[in-house]
Amino acid sequence: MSTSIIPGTRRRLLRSPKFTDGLLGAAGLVTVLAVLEFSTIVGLLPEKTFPRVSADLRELAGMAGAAELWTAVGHTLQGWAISFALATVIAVLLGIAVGSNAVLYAATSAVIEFLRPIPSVALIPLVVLVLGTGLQSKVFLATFAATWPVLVATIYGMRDVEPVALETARSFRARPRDTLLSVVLPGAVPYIAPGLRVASTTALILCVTAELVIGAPGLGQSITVAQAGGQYQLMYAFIIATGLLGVLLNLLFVALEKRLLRWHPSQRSQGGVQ
Amino acid sequence: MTDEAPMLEVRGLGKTYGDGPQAVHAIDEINFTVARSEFVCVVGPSGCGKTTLLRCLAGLMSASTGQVSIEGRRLDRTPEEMAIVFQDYSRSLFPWMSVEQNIAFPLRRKRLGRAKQQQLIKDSLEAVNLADAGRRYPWQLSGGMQQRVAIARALAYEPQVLLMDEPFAALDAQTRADLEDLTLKLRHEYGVTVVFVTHDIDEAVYLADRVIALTPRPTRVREVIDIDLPRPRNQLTTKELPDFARLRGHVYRQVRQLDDGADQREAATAS
Amino acid sequence: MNRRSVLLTLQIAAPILVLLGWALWSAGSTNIFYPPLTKILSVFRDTWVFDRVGSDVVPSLTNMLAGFALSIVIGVPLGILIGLVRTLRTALAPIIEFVRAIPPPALIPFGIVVLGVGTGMKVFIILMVGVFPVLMHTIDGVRGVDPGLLDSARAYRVSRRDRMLHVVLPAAAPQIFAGMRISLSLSLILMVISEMVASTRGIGYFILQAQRTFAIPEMWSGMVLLGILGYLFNLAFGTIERRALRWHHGARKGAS
Repeated sequence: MSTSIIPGTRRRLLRSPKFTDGLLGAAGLVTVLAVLEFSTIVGLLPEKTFPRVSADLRELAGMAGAAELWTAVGHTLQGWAISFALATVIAVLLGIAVGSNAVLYAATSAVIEFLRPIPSVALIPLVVLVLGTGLQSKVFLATFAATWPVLVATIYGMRDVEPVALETARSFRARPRDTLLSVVLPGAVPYIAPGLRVASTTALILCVTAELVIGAPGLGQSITVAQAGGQYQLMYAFIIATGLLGVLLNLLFVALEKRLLRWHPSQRSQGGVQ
Repeated sequence: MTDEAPMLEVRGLGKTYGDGPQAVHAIDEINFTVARSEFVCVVGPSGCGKTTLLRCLAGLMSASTGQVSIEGRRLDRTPEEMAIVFQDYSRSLFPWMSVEQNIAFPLRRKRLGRAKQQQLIKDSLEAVNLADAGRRYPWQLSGGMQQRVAIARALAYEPQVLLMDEPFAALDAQTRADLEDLTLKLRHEYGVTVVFVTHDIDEAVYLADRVIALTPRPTRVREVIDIDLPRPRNQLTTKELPDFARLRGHVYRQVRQLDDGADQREAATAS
Repeated sequence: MNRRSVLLTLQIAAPILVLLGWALWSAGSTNIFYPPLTKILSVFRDTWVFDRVGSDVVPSLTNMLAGFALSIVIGVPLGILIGLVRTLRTALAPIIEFVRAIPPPALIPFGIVVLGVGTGMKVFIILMVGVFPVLMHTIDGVRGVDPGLLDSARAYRVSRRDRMLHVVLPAAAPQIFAGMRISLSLSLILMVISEMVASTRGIGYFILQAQRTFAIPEMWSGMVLLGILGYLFNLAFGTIERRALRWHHGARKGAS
């Protein structure tokens, strides 16, 4: 009560200057870019290894029409999409099984606790030996790494279901299958959705890592090739492109989460007077 | 009352949230004064801006019009002489501090010296019957005990004015009655001025020297009612007095804004 | 009770059974990619206890912990500042969102170009990557501080400094710790990758070199070491976190 009134006002005040917020953000971006550009011009940053930002951006703009960039992006996205889909299916199914069965949970929880902190990159050498340096290796590594966040979130969500909701379902004599599908699983979605966002980021990171370390084709490989060839503007252009891809995927998942969790209090806008 | 400035004076206080067509007129205009050592209860229908009023009184929110003064000084932030007990004890006690640390935290600024500070903590905990709870953490205590810690924190602060914002609304009836009596006892012992905001009419009449009844939004003072019940008050005997019933009924009518006709109609449907 | 003790036994026995299963399955293995577990363990003893500790493990972990420590030292104060100042938050949001979205390993070539292949580059990369989880979680934590707690501190005229140190910081601490935990595991990963890409020593370099020279049991021993390190870091951090946030867990248990 005491606080609902203030954010309401503040929000309304802010909504109209949403435009100024955007302007402020743009100003921040421009300032940082200008500082970098200026630092190179006056020699604070070495021009050779740290070309002007404007030159990097021009390089990127020039590449936008060429096939090279889009092929690299395509390779990376392909790996990302396959591993994300695999990880989601594996983790959610496994998570439902483990989370809804006490015996299975007891048998796996300690094993998961042991396996999860193992850095996935430790597997790189083995994966290269067994699967080679192509798409398969990339997908294996990314799937392995991206499975954990969804798995853990699903198990946690399944086990954290509101007991009153379960008892309500039981009091209406709902069948176990119905309880699972319409009470337990929706209750777990608020946990699974952020898990998916983390998994998407993780999958992208591992794809780029695989490209970088083992030389699978994609943005990561393009970055190393440019660096090794001394084409630093190209390297920066590829790094910026990778970052933009990351931003895009992130925005996608934030929007997805909003849709999935429309009913959840965390997404409810607190507008209105009361 | 002598010619000295009242302890607390509210003059022409108004509050509007936002502006333009979306503006919400929460408080229209409120005037009242509170004398030194007086116990004043503010009651009003739910949603009538009691909390807004309290936040303005506490200096946690600035009013749109008018002003609040304490001993004649205009107030722009919480004054030194004022301590506040909030409704939601779980959000006003710091969970990472023990009970003692919670009480000591506001005292840091007063630079009292260790001995004096320890004494204040000990006395205040004894006053609320929690002498042994100093080392414990708020979340290890029941709701009623936590609110007693919040009261102890306020007492140790040595305020002249104690603002209480529906402090017992979240507690069960038994605990609530105990804490009402504790509040009366402490008021008597410490001689502190109390402004007590509540939506519970029984509670207001039982505790107060005067009850200020508010109207619904935009809020005004509907009536100020003197409660001339004898002290010390007692949960049983005071509430059995015919005067208590009369005052209670009167305040109820004021708060619900029932005219006599409506009163009779309601009585008819109730019987 | 009986059912509970059965489940508990199962919980303890499961990892041991998995290890035993691995040992049995690999016992007679002739596949060079999957050497017998006993072989891996004996190589592990020869390699890591404590032959290569000074030459590889200590430098690796020093880089990692230095980068992690810097992430905290920079991320927490910056996060508090950005979390409290709305203008700063709005102005910096796009740039932070962008840098954060770059997959961390993509920054390694940048680090090599600017700082070379030495220790400085590795610490820099670990910091570049590790600072963001700490920063973002601190910002979230600071913004999520219960207004009731802030009101309470304000009402008792608590000084700005005390409000920061004793209200905002502890209230945001659960979030900050969550960020630090992510940062810790990222630090370990970046340590390995940076050594795989550009180094002549360190655990990551050792593993990759073992693979390239087909010293498969050595490679496996390095992987086991990383697994153990990952597990131990997680365990140590969990212990510290539980101690530091005792009030938080207590309060949550009390609430439910």
